[in-house]
Amino acid sequence: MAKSRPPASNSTCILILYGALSACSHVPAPPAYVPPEEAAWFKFPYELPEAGKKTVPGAMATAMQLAMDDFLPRGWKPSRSATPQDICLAQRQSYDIAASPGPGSLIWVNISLGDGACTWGSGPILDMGATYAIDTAQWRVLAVRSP
Amino acid sequence: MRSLAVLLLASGLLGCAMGPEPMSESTVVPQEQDYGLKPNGLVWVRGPWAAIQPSRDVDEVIDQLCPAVLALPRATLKEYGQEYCGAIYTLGDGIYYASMPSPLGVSEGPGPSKSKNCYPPRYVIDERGRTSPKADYHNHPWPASRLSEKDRSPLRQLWQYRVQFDSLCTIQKLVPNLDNPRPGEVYERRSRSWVLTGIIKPEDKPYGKVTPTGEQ
Repeated sequence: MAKSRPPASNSTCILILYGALSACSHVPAPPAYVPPEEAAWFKFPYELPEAGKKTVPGAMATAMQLAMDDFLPRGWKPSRSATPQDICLAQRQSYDIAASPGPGSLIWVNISLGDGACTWGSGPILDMGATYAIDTAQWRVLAVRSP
Repeated sequence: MRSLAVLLLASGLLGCAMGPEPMSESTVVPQEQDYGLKPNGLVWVRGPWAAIQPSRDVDEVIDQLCPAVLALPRATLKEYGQEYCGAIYTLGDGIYYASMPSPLGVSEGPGPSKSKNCYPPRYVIDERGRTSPKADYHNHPWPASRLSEKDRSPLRQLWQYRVQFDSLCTIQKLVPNLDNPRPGEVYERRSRSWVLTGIIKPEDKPYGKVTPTGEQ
């Protein structure tokens, strides 16, 4: 006589549900911290240096981040056959970001390859980047186009 | 020993004097191709483009470019569009020619830029002789899409000027004047004339920042 499968307990169901939900969620991994022993030398200044300081309003900074998260998602990796330039293009720091307030709750964000960035191989490339219209009322991408 | 040293020195100096590979040359490239990459990774294009009638008036060549490029696959398809880069050149005979357009660019990059970027060609191959590129040209596969700030960046200029057009055939010309103190100039083609729509002040040349003239 075959044994019948015992009914799943409540805790098992919760565990399965948790696993399924966490697999569907897209919470990015927190940034890596330098281990304390490596960071022991570091001391904060009393104030941020004035030279080169930029203050970006919070809404604008958030719009920039939202656009960049779409343009080049964290963890995005080029293919295994990628060239050095492909690898360079897959790095966020290769891009400059400009932003301007638009009508209403709109913020324009332009992402473009930085001057002098990723010039290996075939030299300067034209129109690598995108312009986003970010709806800051609901934090959604209203439109995007490239170039 | 001394003669060997002199020989090595002479050959070294000769190497320096010869400088880098010329920017345009008729080196062997595959006959069946209209564009490609040289072993150094730089883009070459073949010329002349039969779709464009050569002329002693470079503007007559420019006026033919947009309709010809827009007839190419996906040239107006916006987010599914294709950008093409080419060159305007002479053979030293006072006649201007257009090269074939090249779609070569970054096709697997991040974001929505795929196929909507291109490398301006460094070499124009014309079997008739040595070419002298004067300008590059490229399209944007969108309407109302002018020269971008990075299109105007001095680090991205290869030749004397740059021609760009959108899917409505609004043609712009950038004369960066990087080798002289004159301001950079941005023109728009209207009724077969160039209208100066903006200047790039000498202090703004490093950024390609345009100050409008009011002729918008």
